[in-house]
Amino acid sequence: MYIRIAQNILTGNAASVTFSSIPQTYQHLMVRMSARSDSGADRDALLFAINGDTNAANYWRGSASRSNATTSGDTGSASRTFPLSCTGGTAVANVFSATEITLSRYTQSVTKLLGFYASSTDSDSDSTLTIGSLIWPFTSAISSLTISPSSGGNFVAGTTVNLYGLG
Amino acid sequence: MPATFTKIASVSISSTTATVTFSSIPQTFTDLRFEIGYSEASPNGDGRIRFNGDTTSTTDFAGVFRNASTPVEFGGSAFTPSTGGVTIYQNCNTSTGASRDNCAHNSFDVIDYRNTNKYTTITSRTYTPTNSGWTNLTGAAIWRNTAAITEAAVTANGSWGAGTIITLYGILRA
Repeated sequence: MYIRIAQNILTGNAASVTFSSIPQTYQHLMVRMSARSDSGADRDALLFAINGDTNAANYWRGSASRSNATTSGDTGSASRTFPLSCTGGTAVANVFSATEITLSRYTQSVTKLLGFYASSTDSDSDSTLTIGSLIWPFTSAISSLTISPSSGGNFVAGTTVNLYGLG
Repeated sequence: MPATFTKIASVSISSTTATVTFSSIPQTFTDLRFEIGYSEASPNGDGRIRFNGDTTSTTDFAGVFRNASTPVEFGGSAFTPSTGGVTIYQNCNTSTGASRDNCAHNSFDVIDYRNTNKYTTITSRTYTPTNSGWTNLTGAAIWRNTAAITEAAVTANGSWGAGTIITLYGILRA
């Protein structure tokens, strides 16, 4: 079963969303979100902290994006961001990114993997598809997850962030 | 969403296993979903999902963003159709030494798996980090067979390692 563990529907700006005391009873977790930040750019990145770990050197990420005729990506770098995965403040009005994040085997004593898949839109309705994965090379179970705009700004009202357990 | 996804079966692997087979798949859902969180016990390579034991029907595949170092799209003439089933892009292994190698995740949606008047379409998402290059992929496949799917064999390139979880869900659309 897919069970909704928690739901966040922002009615005002918020610097981050945190899921804490995550139940340790599922096989995997999934975050599904519709987000927009108030950054000064048309697209933003999502910034993650697992179990409160904000040290970027502890993470490793690879990703690829396709936007109109442009592709971009990286083979892996020390980062805890998911690039181009959040609509920014100067994008077309009323547009929010759609993002799905899979936290695979989050209770197992294995290196932790977050897979992300996102669509965002910039200032001229140019949609971007981004897919990537992020490694947190520790074996402890994930009990909390914080998501924030990488720009340092806020998620705006209307952003929704839901956490599901895959049993 | 919660009421529409039902776990049909789940296999947690405690020792290396080459193939996990789901048989007698209920014919009561509209779609199927596979969630495969795994450690791969063997070196790089790709696995497959084979339906109904079929080794002869052609399976097409197209995808984008395989290998993040040079994001590419592939499909059509760039991809040789398979007759062995739907490809599971893995490239996850424990042989190169880095701890980040030992984990990966694939999701597959099998659309309208009971319908017998069309070929079956599968969509997929793949997340495999390695030392030598990352395969983060979204793709789609067509199994050129009109039979209802009653069995699915999920096979690793070599073998699924201990800790692998392979789960089959039934999706019931409103």
